[in-house]
Amino acid sequence: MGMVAFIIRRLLLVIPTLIGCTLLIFAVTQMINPYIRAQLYITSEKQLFHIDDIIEKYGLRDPFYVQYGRWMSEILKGNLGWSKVANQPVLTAMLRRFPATLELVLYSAPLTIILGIYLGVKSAVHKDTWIDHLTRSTAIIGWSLPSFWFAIILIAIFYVGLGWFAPHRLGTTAQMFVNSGNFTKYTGLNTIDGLLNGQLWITLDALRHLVLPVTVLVVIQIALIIRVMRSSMLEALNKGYIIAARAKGLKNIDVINKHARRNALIPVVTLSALLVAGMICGVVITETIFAINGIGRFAADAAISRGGAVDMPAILGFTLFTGLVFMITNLLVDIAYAYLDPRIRLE
Amino acid sequence: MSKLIEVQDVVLRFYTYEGVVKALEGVNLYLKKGETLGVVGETGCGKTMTGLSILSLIPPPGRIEGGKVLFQTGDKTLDLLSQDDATLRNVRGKDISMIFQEPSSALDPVYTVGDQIAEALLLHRKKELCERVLAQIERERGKKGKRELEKKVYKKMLKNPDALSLKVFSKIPIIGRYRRLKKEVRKEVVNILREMEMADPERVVDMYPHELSGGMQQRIVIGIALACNPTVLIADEPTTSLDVTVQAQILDLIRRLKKKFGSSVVYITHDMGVIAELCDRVAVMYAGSICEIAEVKELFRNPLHPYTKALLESIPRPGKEFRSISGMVPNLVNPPLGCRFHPRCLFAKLICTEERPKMKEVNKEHFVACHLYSRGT
Amino acid sequence: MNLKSRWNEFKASMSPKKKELKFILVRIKKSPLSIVGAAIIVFYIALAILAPVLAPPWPGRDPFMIPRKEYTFEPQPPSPEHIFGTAEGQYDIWYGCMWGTITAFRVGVVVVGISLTIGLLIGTAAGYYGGIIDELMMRLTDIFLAFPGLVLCMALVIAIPNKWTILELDPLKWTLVLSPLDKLLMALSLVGWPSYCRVIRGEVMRVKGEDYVQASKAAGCSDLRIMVKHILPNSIYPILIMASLDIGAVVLTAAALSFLGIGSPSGYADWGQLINLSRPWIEGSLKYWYTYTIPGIFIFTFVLGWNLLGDAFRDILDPMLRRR
Repeated sequence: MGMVAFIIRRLLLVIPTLIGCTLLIFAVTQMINPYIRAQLYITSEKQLFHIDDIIEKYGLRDPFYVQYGRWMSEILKGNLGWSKVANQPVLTAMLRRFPATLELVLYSAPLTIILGIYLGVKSAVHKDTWIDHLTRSTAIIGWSLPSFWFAIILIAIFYVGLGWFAPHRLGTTAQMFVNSGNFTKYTGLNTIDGLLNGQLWITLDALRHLVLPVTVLVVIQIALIIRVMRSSMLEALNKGYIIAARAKGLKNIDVINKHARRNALIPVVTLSALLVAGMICGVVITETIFAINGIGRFAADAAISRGGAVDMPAILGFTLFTGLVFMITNLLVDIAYAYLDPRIRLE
Repeated sequence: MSKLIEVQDVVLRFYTYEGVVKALEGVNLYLKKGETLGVVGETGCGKTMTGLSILSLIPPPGRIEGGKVLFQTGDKTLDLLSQDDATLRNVRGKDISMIFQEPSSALDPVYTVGDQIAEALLLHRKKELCERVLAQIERERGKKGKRELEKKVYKKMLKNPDALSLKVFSKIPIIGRYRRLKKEVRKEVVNILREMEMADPERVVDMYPHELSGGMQQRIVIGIALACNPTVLIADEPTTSLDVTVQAQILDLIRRLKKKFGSSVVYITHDMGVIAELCDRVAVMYAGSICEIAEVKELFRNPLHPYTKALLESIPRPGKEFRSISGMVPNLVNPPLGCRFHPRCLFAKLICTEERPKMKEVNKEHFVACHLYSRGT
Repeated sequence: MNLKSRWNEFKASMSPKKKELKFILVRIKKSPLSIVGAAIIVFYIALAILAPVLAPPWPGRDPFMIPRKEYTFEPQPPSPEHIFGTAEGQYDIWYGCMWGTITAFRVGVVVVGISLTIGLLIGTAAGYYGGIIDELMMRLTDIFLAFPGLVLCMALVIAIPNKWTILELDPLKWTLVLSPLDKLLMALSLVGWPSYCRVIRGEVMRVKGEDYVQASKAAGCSDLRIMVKHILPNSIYPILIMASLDIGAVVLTAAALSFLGIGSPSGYADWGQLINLSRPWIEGSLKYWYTYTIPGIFIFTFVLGWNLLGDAFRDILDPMLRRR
């Protein structure tokens, strides 16, 4: 009963923040001049020529709250404007590109978390030994690396130099096969679709192309998990219930896993939300460098000004979308936190 | 008359940033079967460390550097300080148990109270519970095939509780995830809670430590310690962090349980009043070594060590002038040479600054470590 | 002797501070990485100061725009004339890296400075006064923190106009002209301040509950005095740790944005921008390694230095905080 009440309370808190976020994005749009803003309201290419009429029609010089109301109603209908870069409505463009990003994150996030927790625990249990020093050094190096630079170096060594891995999501033959009529894209994720279609080679090819981008995302993000897990574990190992558990006659490995780690995981769970945020940011760079057509690359392309104007609707749509994803992640993380730490449910 | 536990010359050092803390410097005491031994002393004198040493639970950076802890189990005598980890684990919780000063810290906040008691049960009494389950399966009527399968599982558990096949099986829902065993364990846990005089044990089993009051938490800790009927119970200041009224209840409980289960108790405290109430014999500790051991009545009637005398003098009594012991507890990184009490002792002689006094039996079962009694008075 | 007794008093009052200092020094000695971190930062400070000497700017030009003698497309490998080689369009990489150090410091210090200041003002007010001010400020920070940093930064950098009319009073018209780097700094500061606000608010609320603050209030101290004399000194350590780690993070984000083409303009002396110029030359062959490897090493070591320093601060100050 405590959990359900907690979830409902948490959900209610989300609503004002959600409204606030839309206000923030809207405030950002108001900084731009009306011509660029008009692009938010068009749904096809032809309309680009009638910008002035559109400004009049949509009253882009009207008072703040009037425009906000109109803009929100459009957003809720799913109309995020027209994207120059993709030559499509923004929402359609993002939905089409979403599976590529999802595939990347799906492999990177769990790997980062699991590996990070494991290394953090090992580091704490073997404090001040070579294992500890090695893990911490690797972590801090990973945290200091510019993600784009690391990606470039990896491409230079493993693609240009050794030829083991390649950018893009699939090799040329695989890509042609996927686009042909013989292949059904059930999910849009090549690794899973390959299995569902019974074409194992597609899955393997996709996995091979995922190695480098996933490495980049994992190496950069893992440092945070390791650091927090380690300090949280050290704190937990100092607590009274650890000695009490040993006094029961519990094996050392069970003391560490059942008691210390379980307690130490709690702060790390809250960290997962930050991890997702970091992944979203990392994805923008990684997709650009590895030429993966996900929403990150979409945003990066949109941000570059071509001939003076930037693809504003695409950027705003992307911002709104990632904000939503991040908020949902935070919500899920808070619920997981309450599940792990019974003391929170009372608050 | 047999000595159940004998601590001989245990030396404990802590290697910290600020220097080497010589926490225990040759501790000698013994516990007889069926008695309650009190260990009394000021904060920081090493009482808790003595208790932890018996079970080899000293946390790093501490290291036991000498001495023996002889424990009589069955007809063997083991030196607990030189046993390997597996033997020690067998002793902890089963033969010798410990209860702690702060019950809220001793309980893991993310597991229910019932889970934590069950953990102790499953560590040492699994075979007994499995046998009970098997007997239950025999008596029941019902689908024969399912029963045979369950019998096989529990028999396997009897023989080899850590088998890999069992670990794999527990994930398969058909086996019912050891539902029977779990029910049996739960029944036993509720029983234990009832013994601990806990109100409404069925409800408490599923509660988390933070949902219980201090007194209830301490009962849980005692319950965990007594779950496997240990021969010895080490109680490390169990009532210090509780209010006075709850203190009285817990002391009462310990007394009753001791009689019921027949365990011997080492009771660590700084409260002389509790010693007088509860203990048969008492050991007085100061700055890492034992000064005096005697029967309680004998100690109160005839204290021999200057520290004991000063301690008894300093107990506030109505109508008496309040006296404290002059000086301060020594820094254990650089303790005084010789007898560690000599800077504060009214009777200190030259030899007290040079040589550590050894324990001598002055009267029947009345030991003192003081130069005043080493070569006649 | 009045003077002697006053000197003795002073020594006595300093002695706890001396003890803390000794404790810090012992901890510094035990952590060699902190010395490495400090050394790296000192090295870069020296580099930044010496940049005009090491890479003399051309007269009459903005020193931050990398000068070039030719305009050929293909990058040239390191040579005696161009020690690190040239990037696409014959921008001297050595020059870019040297002046890029100044840019990096500028970006890091300015952004963290502004974020810290805003966060300090808002956070202290929210934490100290509580109530509705606190609620409003927390909602505001929640909104900002609901977006991943880089994403919001991108949106802001693009949205902030190049010319901003602040005041329009006939005949005065105050227009602010913002260079792309200015826009970048503004965007980064706007994204950064909420984190500081949160941390400072937490610290202020913690210190507010301590007994000595209650005692000060009971003695009649004004709010401002309490904030300055008690709350600020006691909450400074976590902020110090956060700021030094943040400089690294800010420089990384700025480099990433410049790499994407949103930050500094093309040809600007900025490490990220140099790597942006190298983008077309990565895939063909390893011949042009110097265009991306060298600026990248600068970014990496710079951020590493700040991270080591911040970590060292944390390791050193944490036991101090716990000893309290």
